[in-house]
Parts: sequence; structure tokens; C-alpha cells
Amino acid sequence: MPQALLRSPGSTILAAAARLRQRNLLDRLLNWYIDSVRSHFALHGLRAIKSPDIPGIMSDPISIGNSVRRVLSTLCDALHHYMFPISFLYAENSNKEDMLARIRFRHSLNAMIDIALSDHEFQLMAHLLVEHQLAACGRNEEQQIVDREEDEPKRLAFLTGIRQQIDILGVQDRMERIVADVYHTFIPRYVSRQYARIWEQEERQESLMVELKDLIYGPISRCIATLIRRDELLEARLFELATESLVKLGIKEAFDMVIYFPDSIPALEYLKMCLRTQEHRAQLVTAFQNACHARLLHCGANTSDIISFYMSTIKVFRLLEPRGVLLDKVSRPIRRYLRDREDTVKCIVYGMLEVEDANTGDLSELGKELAAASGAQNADAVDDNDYFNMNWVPDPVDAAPDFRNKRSSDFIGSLLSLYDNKEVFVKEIVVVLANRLLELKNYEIDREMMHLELLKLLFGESDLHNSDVMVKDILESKRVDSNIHDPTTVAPGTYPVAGIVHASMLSRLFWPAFRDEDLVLPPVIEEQLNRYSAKFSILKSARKLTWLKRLGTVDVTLELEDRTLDFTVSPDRASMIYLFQDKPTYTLNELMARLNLDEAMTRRALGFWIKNDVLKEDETCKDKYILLERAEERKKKMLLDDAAESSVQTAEEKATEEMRIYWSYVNGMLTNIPALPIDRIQSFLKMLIPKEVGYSRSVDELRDFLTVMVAEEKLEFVSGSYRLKK
Amino acid sequence: MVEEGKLASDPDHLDDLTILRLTQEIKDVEASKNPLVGDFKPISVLLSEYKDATFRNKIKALGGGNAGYRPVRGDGNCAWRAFAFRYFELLSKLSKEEIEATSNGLQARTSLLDEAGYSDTGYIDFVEETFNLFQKLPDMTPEQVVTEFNNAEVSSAIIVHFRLLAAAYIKTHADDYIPFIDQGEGADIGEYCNRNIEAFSVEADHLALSALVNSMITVDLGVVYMDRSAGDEAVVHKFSPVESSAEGRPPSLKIDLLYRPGHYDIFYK
Amino acid sequence: MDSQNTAPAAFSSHKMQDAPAAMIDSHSVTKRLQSELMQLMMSNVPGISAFPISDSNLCQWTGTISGPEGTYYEGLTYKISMTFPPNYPYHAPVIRFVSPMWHPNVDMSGNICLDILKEKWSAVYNVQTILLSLQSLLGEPNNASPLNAQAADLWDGNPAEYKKLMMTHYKDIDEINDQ
Repeated sequence: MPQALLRSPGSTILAAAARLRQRNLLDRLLNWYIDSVRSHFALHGLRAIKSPDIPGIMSDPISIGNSVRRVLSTLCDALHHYMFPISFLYAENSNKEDMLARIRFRHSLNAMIDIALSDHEFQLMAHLLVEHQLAACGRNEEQQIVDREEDEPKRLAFLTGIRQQIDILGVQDRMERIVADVYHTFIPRYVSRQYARIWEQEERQESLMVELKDLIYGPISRCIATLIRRDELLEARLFELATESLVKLGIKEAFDMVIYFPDSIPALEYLKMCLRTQEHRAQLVTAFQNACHARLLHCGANTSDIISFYMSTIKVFRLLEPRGVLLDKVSRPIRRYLRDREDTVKCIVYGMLEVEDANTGDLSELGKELAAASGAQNADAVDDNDYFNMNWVPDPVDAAPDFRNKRSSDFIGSLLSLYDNKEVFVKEIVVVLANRLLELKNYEIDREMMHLELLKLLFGESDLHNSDVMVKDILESKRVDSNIHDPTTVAPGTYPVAGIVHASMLSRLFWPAFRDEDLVLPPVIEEQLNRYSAKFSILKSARKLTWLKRLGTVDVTLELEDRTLDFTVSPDRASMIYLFQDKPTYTLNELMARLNLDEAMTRRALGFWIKNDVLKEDETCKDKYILLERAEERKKKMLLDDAAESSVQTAEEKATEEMRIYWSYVNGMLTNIPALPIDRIQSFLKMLIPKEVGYSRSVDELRDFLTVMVAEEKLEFVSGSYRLKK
Repeated sequence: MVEEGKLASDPDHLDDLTILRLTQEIKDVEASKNPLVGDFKPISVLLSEYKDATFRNKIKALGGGNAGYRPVRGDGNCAWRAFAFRYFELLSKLSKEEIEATSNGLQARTSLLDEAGYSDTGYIDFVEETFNLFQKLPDMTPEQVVTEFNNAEVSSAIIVHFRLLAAAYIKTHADDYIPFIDQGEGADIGEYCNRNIEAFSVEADHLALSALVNSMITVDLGVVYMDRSAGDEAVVHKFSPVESSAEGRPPSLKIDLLYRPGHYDIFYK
Repeated sequence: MDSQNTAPAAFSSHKMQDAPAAMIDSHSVTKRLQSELMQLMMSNVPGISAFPISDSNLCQWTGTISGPEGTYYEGLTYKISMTFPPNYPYHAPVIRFVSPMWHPNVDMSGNICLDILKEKWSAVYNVQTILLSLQSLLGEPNNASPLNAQAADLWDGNPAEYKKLMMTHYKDIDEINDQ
């Protein structure tokens, strides 16, 4: 209803009103009018403000703006209309009673408008409108500043229009609430969208703050101040919100910053500056731990990746907080997880010894660290008892009770402290070193000696005494070997040894357990070994060599009809291919018998030769193998796991063996004592297992083991105690 | 109080550990008056213990001068301990090579144990203790051998080793011994060895000593019987091994024991 | 009464001071028992088992013996206690049945008459041989010198009655453990 169509009431109506006023019945009229207005508004007004096509306009800022304006104008019109008769009934600036009546009417109108505006659709539109307006102040997704200078007056004019309508309708409070809602979500979202993953440039961090400040103190606060009543603290509050959002973003991204370390150092420096409150620190710890669980500590991640992530974590958190309290907290789940990984020790040891291995990944950083650490040991240690240290600060209040300040960025120390004792590492080192030494040709052990010296600094001389002997064995072997090959030392009854045969003499007691099954070598080689032994016995009177025929490497040249192939292989593989010299086909069983190998080893060796197109399995006869004198076209090949056969019992195998022993104890224990809690079992095992076997598992490891046994239905766990499952 | 007293004196209420401990303590208190292997004493000390003319005559007849004896604790193992101690005491005065030869000879006799059907897990601990001592022996003085033998752990283990050797010899030469075994108490060789030789703290009889000497090969044993039997000189029983070691390598040892009814000491001529 | 009670303690202190050499070092007993336990655990002979009752005192064990097949005791399991003297293995351990045992060579307190635990004890025996001997004692009692005359009489004379009486005394091992 356009305003012009409103007509003033006629004189009869005014007279009637005056009559009613005289008889004090005007109140009744007002009540009736209010009722009528309510039903009219409910019937027509609410329908009028409904937008015809809400979902359709949501994505279009201009339509939304227009819709909001339309709703507000409709309401303004309605307000005008409904107020119109009242201005005749109650004169303005008249007596007190009239004023109260006008106010009463106005209140009921306000209630109606408020109901109309609390409509869900309008709320949504209003939110979107404000959001679009705020978004228009900053950068859009294409990082373009949309708001060209000339645009702003236009937008502000539009907003001023809305503001006027709001003032007319008297719904400023509602608008303020909407605006506040919007900027509280908009600013963090804007910050995380605009500034996510910007870590590299130092200047960027600076300019970022300036830009943000400009934005907030400029267009955004202008925009907001147009819409709602101005508040002096608005800008400060908005800016606080923005910086807080930046910290939260940094906290959220800490995990990625660790991944991208050291490129993320500028961002970390900034984050360090912003981490002011305990709340932030707590959030950082929680967010980082959650990210670790979700993204790192699961079975899909390689142990080496976890370890190198852990090393970066150490660096990052040392940078964030040199005291190491945060580091201590965030690294706990990682450490706990690493402890449970079977190959952690192996990976660390491989890393320290700079062994490249497809399965353990590249952790050669550890090796470099080892070399570096030995040079500057304890250089940057913080000593709490150093009373002259003027830079001393107390541990932060959120330090865990068992927090101990460790040497900053000492990865190796941190990794070694994963386990209660260093023995697990020593065991693995001995195994790895033994493998390395056995793989050597030409007795060149400089690298191993260097590593060993470094490791000794770390683990102490005594624990690595065996390894010392191992290295000395190789040195001594070199000397003995050259003596044996020395043509001037021919003794009666011995024959010269072919120059291709070299041996390492091992002091059995000091090396890890070897697989000591025998292997049948080709007779020519056996003959050479016998000659070697004979000469050795003369050199070292009364000492006899026992050959470990499965160890070592053989350089093999295969001269086939159409090709010549060179390989360096283990003795079992060499012996196997040598057999094919006499006869082109063998069955699996024949090979096993001729070589004295078990089925698994035989198949593995066969797999190697098949993979290299030297042998193939007879298509017509299973487990029969044929020498390929002429290369065949590449066919679908059997891809057998070619993991280098380790010649020494690995720590893993040893652990399995140990677990078998522990299980028989647990079984015996629970056969005779019906139920035991875990700590009793632990102390039994600690006390009762002889030192030669040794028991060094932690309660957690034991619990894992018992849990497996429960899963295998060998044990049951009832009211805090384990018992045998019957 | 009454209740408590009843508990303490009622054997059913003493647990096994307490009973064992009390018995052992009583034994230890008695035994502790005498060391396992005592100090050398001249024969005059022995003489002073006896008033009876028969004994005094016999003792005097043993000779004066350097003659003497070394008391051994009477705990049922005295003959064995006396023999074993004297064996090592004599050896300790020999050269390293001779000790080694003796050790090797004895080591070879371990096969007797296997032949007799003892499991190596059963005897290995005791046999090892003997050869441990052999290892240390070249550097030891006779005084140190005394100290070593007063260590119950060492001497008990060696005694068990020697007992097993003797029992094994009887078991592997059953035909030679069966006529001597008292037919009344079960003629079984195994039973006899079990009760009289293998069992710890059971005193050695004539048969046991003979078997021991035979199992050792390198020892000639003389036992001086100091009893009330008529005569002015004590009877001396001599035990010599049936087999003998070739050409005095390892050297033969001469051990003498002094027997008084129920007890053996070491006798030095 | 008091003096009777305190006397052993006085003995023991006296002994410790005067004759240390006479004692077998308890460490060696511990070591011996530890290795016997290892052997027992690893050999895992069915029907016999034993384990120390506490980790602080290796001299007290508890064991279980299952009745051998083809005997009255087939399918039944008995609990025993084993107490090792400080001079073990030179002296025999004290073994008794904790479960009520109705058998010619076992008395009502669980004391066992078995020659290898008494006069025929030898240092070559160990826990495993003891357990095996006890197990075979269940099938082959020595009826010549019974501790339980009634059982000895019925063993050959009246198998049905034997089985019946034996079962009235039997208590399941779980019941014993719950006590």
C-alpha cells in the first residue's frame, strides 16, 4: 500500500473517538485495534515479506541485498500504515495517558516486527548480506582486492539505507547481534583462508600484519560502523580477533610446519612470538597430538618417516620453546608409538650406521648427527645447578611433573631414551655391524671403525666390546689372508690357495649367533677351502677353521650360449647355479638335497635366478627348474621377495625366541598360581629368568604380549588378573 | 601364651621351611665346631686324645717325626672329602703340565657317567666345579686349597662328582661288584649305588672306596684302621686301581686316610 | 615357652658369625633353582608343573601333578608344595601334598613316603625328576611300607572301593586355590 493512498479519517470517526475517550472506552478501542493489526499482519504482512525464491538468490550478493531491503521496506510500510490511525486517536505531545497508549501500541508493533525478523530465512539473508559486505572489503579467492576505491561509497550508501530502515523499525539490537555473529566467524575464516600455509618469507610475516591491520581499521570497520551503532572499542576488538585467529592458524598448522621444516622457520618464529597464554600452549599440544594420531601414528606410516618427523618435531619445538616443556608433551605420543613399533630400533641403528635400506628408509641424518654430536658433546647443555648461569629461567608452569630438561636438539639422545635400557640398541648394532662386516670385500673397514668409535662414545666401551673384537677380527683376517696368499710361505703338505678365495676369521664367542646349518659348496670351492684351512692351521698352530659356508659373497660369471652375466651373490645362490653346469634341469627336492638347504631358502635362491632370467620353472612340471641357455622373451615373472637374506639372527627373530621362553614361564606360573596381576608377573619374570637369557621388557611391553595371548585365547583377563584359559 | 607355646611345640604346625631351617641350624651348630677341612696336626695331638693302651701303641707305631693328620668334619661325607682334598692338595704341589695331564685324564673318565646312564644335565654342575678347581690349581698354594675346600659349595660339588664317578664305575663293572653287595638288602646294583654312594652324607664303605680308586685310575689309597683289634700296629688296607695309567703320565698320587670307627681323617706319613 | 621360641634365632646368629664357610651360599641355591626352573619351563612335560610362589623367595614352590593315565588318579590334578633347603641340591627338598591325597604312601597331612626324597636322595635329582617320580608313585605305590594302611589294603584288594574312597577325599584344584 503506497503511502499516498492513506486518507485521513472523516469527522464522524473523529467524533466517535472523542465520545469513546469521554466515556473512558478508548482503551477498549485500542485493544481491539491491536488485535486487528495482529491478525492483519499475520495474514498479509508475514506473507508479504517472504521472498519468493530464497535458494535461488543465496549465491548472489546483489539479490540478497535487494531482498533484505525489500523485507525491511515492507516492514517500514506496514509500520507506517498501522501507526497512521493511532496518530489521530492520540495526539502527539499530549497528556501522559495518551503517550502511554501510543507506547503500548508501538510495543506490540515492535513485537510483531521482531517476530517477522526472527524468521529463519530473513536471518540467513541478513547474515549473508553482512558477510558479503565484509568479504567485499578484503581479498577474494583470487587474491584480488575487489573493493576498488570507487566501489566503497556505493556499498556504504546501500548500507546506510539499510541502517535507516533498521532505525525506523527499531531493531538495532537484532542487527548488532547478526553483525557480531558474522564477524566472529568471518574473521577467523578469512584469516585461515588468506594466510594458510604461508611460512617461507620472513617479510611476508611482517607485511601480513600490516595488511590485516589496514583491512580491519579501514574498510571492515567502516562497513560495520555504517550498519550498526559505533562502538569505540570495535576496531581493537576486531584486530584482537584477527591476531588470535592467526595464532590458532599457526597452532593448527604446527604439524605441517614440522613437515616443511626448515622452510617454515619464519612462520615458526612468528608463532613463537604469538604463543603467549597457557591456553595457546595447551591448544598447541592438543592440536599437534591429534594431528599426529590422525596423520602420522598409524600403521600406514613408515617407521623411518615417523622417526624423521620426530627429529623435526624436536627441532621445531626447541625453536618454539627452548626449555623443551612443549616438546616433552607433544613427543610423548610419538615416543610411545615408536616404542611399540617392531622395527624402530632397526631403523635407528641403520640410520646411525648410515646403512641404506629400502625397508628402513633414509635416516642418514642420524649418522651425521652422531658424528657432529661427538664433537660438541654437552656444549649446549643447560645445567639447573649452574648457579652462575645468568640466563637461567625456571621451567614453565605447565611442565609435566616428570619433565627433565634434556640437551637441546639431541636427537640421538632422545631416540635412545625411547627405551629403558640401551641394550636393545647394542644388540641391534652388533647384528647390523656383523652383517656389514660380513658383506665387506677387501677387508676395508674404515667406515665401520669410524662408526664404531662414535657409537662407543654414546654407549660406552664395555657394551660394545664385542663389536671391537669383531672389527679386530676383520683386521686380523686381512693380515692372515694375505699371509695365506703369500707364495713365499709354502709349507710342506699344503697347496697354494686360489687368489679368489678370501676368508674372514671370526672369534665365535664375540659374534652374534649364526645360522649354522651346513651348505654343500661346489667341490672345487670345497677343495680351496680345505687348502685354506690347511695353511691357516700352519700359520696359527693348532687352530682349526670352522667354515660358515652360508656367509659371505661370491662373484659369479655365467657364460651362457647367448650371453654372459655377472652377479655378486650369496654362497647358496652361487652353489645352486653351479649345479646347473652339469645338468640343465633339477627338481626342487633335488636342489634341496644337493645343497642341504631347506625349502624356503631354496625357493628364495630359485626366485633370484628366475628373476634374473637365468632359470625358469618348467611350465609342464611344477617345482622343476630349467636353465635358460638362451634368453627367453620376458614373461610374467615370479616376483619373489628378494629381501637380502640376513646371515645373522636378527634382533626380531631373537625377540620371538625370547617371547617363546617368556611364554613358557607365564604358562608355568599360571598353571600353579591360578591368577596374577601384571605387576606380579613382571616381577616374577624379572627375578626368575636367568641372566644368561635376560629379561628386560617393560610392563607395557609385557602387557602388549599378554594382550596378544588373550587374543589368541591362551589367557583370559578377569578382574585385574590374568589366568589361563581353560 | 599357652596357645602360642602349643603352636611352637606342635610339629604339625611348623611349616616345612622352618623344620628344614631348624634341622639345618642344629647340624650347622654342631658342625661349626669343626671346619670342613681342619689344620694339619702332628701325631702327638692324636696320641693325647687316647688313654687306651691298644690305641696308644698303634698310634705310636704310625711313626713320629713328620707324621700327622688333618681332621675332616664328620658329616657323613668325611671319607669323600678327605680323599678329594688330599687329591687336590697333592696335585697343587705338582707342575702345571702334570696338573693338566691329571685333569685331562679325569676329564676322560666323565664318559663313565654317560655309560652308567646319568644325564649330563644332572651331573654337569658338579663336574664343572671340579674342573674349575683344576683350572685354578696351578696358581694355588696348598693353603689356598684348604680355604677352597672349606667353601661348602665347592667341596660339596666335588664330592658329588667323585661319588658319581664311583657309582658309575660300579654300575659299569657290575659283574665285579655284585658278589660283594649284601644280598639281604636288595641285590640290585642301582639300588645299592643310590643308597650308599650317590646319596649325599652317607659314609663311604669299603666297596665305595675301591670303586672310587678304580674310577680315578691315578690314585693309590691306603686306609689306616685305628681300632681296638688286637695287635700293636694298625692294619693298613691298600686300594690300587685295576687299570693303570700308562708310563706314569699322569703321575700317580698316594693318598692315606686314617680310619677310626665311624670316621675318616687325612693321614700324613 | 619364650625361651623355646627364641632359641633358634639365637642359634642362627651364632652360626652366622662363627662358621660362615659351613653355609652353602644361598646365592648358589638361587642360581641352581633358577636354572632348574628354566629347564622345567622349557621342557614343558605334560602333567607336571611347578613354580616358585613368590619372586622374593625361590625356596618355596608350588606344583601340580596330574594323575597318570590308566591309574585310579587319571584325570585328577593335585597341588603340592616344595620347600628347598639352603643346601639344596645336596639335601632333599621337603615335598607334601596340599590337595587332600588318599594314597598308600601319603598320610593325612600330605607327607609323602618316597625313598628318593629321603635316604635315596642324590644331588643329581632335580625338580623335574621329583615331579616325575611323584607322578609315577600315584600309579605304582610302595605297598610294603604304607602310611595309609587302608589304602594299601584296598589298592589290589578292592579297586571299586579304593576309587570310591579316593574320590571322597579328592578336592578340585580350583577349590584348593580359592581357599
